Amino acid sequence: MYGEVLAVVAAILWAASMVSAAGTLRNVNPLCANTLKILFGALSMVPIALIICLGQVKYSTSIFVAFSLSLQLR
Amino acid sequence: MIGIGMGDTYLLKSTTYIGMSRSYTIAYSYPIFTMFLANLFLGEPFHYRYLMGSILIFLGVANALTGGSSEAGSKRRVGFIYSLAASLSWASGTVLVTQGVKTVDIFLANTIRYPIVFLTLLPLMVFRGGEIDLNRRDLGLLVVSGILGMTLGGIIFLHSVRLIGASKAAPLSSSSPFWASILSSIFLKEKLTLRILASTVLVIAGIYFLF
Repeated sequence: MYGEVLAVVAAILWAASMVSAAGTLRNVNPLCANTLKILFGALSMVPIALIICLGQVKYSTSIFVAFSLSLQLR
Repeated sequence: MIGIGMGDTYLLKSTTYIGMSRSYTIAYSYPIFTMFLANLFLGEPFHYRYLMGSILIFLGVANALTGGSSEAGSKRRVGFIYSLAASLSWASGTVLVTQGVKTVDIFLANTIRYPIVFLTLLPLMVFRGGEIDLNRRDLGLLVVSGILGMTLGGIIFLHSVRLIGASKAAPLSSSSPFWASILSSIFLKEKLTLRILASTVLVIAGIYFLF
């Protein structure tokens, strides 16, 4: 059940991400909003990438395949 | 670049014409295009249940487009074209990613993907974006958007996949258009109609058949 809840939470977060980006469209054009969204998303992933690189968290290849695909499932 | 760069930009553009709930629902028809592209270019098999899923998604999209709404016909058409472009971009991105991860290290690809997309979009934004009137609220919303969607959403989905497997996690996570409709009615003050909710349910039901 916990796994199912997490999948739905991920869906809510993706929706919230798009809705919050759409909230800026009165002052910012879509291209700019998306570019900055990607910048901030990439920056927030830096600490995670560092942790992984330092070997503190062990991820298997299949997990990264899933992560990569998850970023497309929006 | 095609998936998150072009696709998300088209979706946001579409939102300015037909609203978030409608454009997100239409854009979420992308598994249909993914299925056809994967069949065409990657030789992936086609199952009969896919046809059922495609019909449901088509009905959902058609339902979202018809019916009484405040937008003028031409505005609705432009919004539909942009959301369809988002859908096609996401589908192409998914197929390319599937092909790309066969030869490139996943970790490396994922780490460098976003900075590359950002650096590709940056010149476009500067030269084509026009004036940017970015206040603190908008900046905060974009920071939240990036962290929620790209980082937290991805990590939580990852945990879900670990617990229940991708075959169960992916269809459940496709409920995103339903949540987008709810959230946009709360935060963007969009009118949440039964028609939009019905379209969302049809699209989500169609996606279930495609997994």
